[in-house]
Amino acid sequence: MARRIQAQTTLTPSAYADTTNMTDATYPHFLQGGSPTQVNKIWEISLNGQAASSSSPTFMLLSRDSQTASSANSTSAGQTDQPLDFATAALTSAAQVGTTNTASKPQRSATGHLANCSLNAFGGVYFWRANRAEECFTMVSATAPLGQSSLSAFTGGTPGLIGSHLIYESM
Amino acid sequence: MFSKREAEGYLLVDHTDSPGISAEQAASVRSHLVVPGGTKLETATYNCTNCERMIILNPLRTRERYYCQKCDGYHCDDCALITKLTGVCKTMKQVIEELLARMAKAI
Repeated sequence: MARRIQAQTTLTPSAYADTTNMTDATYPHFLQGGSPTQVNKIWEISLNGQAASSSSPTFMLLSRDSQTASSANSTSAGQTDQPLDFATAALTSAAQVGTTNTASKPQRSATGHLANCSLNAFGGVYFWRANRAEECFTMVSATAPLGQSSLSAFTGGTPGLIGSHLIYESM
Repeated sequence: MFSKREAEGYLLVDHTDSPGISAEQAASVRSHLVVPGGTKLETATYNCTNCERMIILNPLRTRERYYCQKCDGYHCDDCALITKLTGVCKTMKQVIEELLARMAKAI
């Protein structure tokens, strides 16, 4: 068991309706199990507004995905995925993270919305943390409907520049 | 002594120095997370034991929250209705355990 932090330095999310392909590097994070039996728990979500000059209501959603990303998944520019503890041993099947996929793209489930992470990207801050493992969002396997989640902008508003991180734990 | 409050999550939405999200803007996307400019929301959360959706505790709520004696946890309003109508409470933990058991049998 190892907690890791997936961080995105800066990104302007594109707004997507549910069950729509999300284009590479236009959403902050996705998290997919590294094997058919892997369980992942999300412990913390942080979003910090970086918009420079005007009001930017940014309606972010953490949601399960009805279509999982496939083939080579990777992080985009400014995105990192690091263990919280330097002594963490590498997993045989690491969870898939990032925002870039060579084949199928993530699609947000219409029925699996988990958390409303809305903020105004002009000066706003959103932060959530679970207190116990039972209160974490749980992913299992690597396939829909429970194997992948993503953090992305919902249609509406005026998405602005944000920085973000997501702490997760692979079991 | 254990208190259920120990399990609560923590949520902060800080629009102290931001135009924030007005009720009209939130309503435009059917959101209830209203934090207008110049204000800060700091509150407890819990996750529904059945669907794991985050529930932001509204201190002004007067309706009773649905506590399920079967799973010893709280349900969101949608799952509470299903449990009341069917008498069935199937937690996400059960769903995951069943899925993993099926996987183990298949190997």
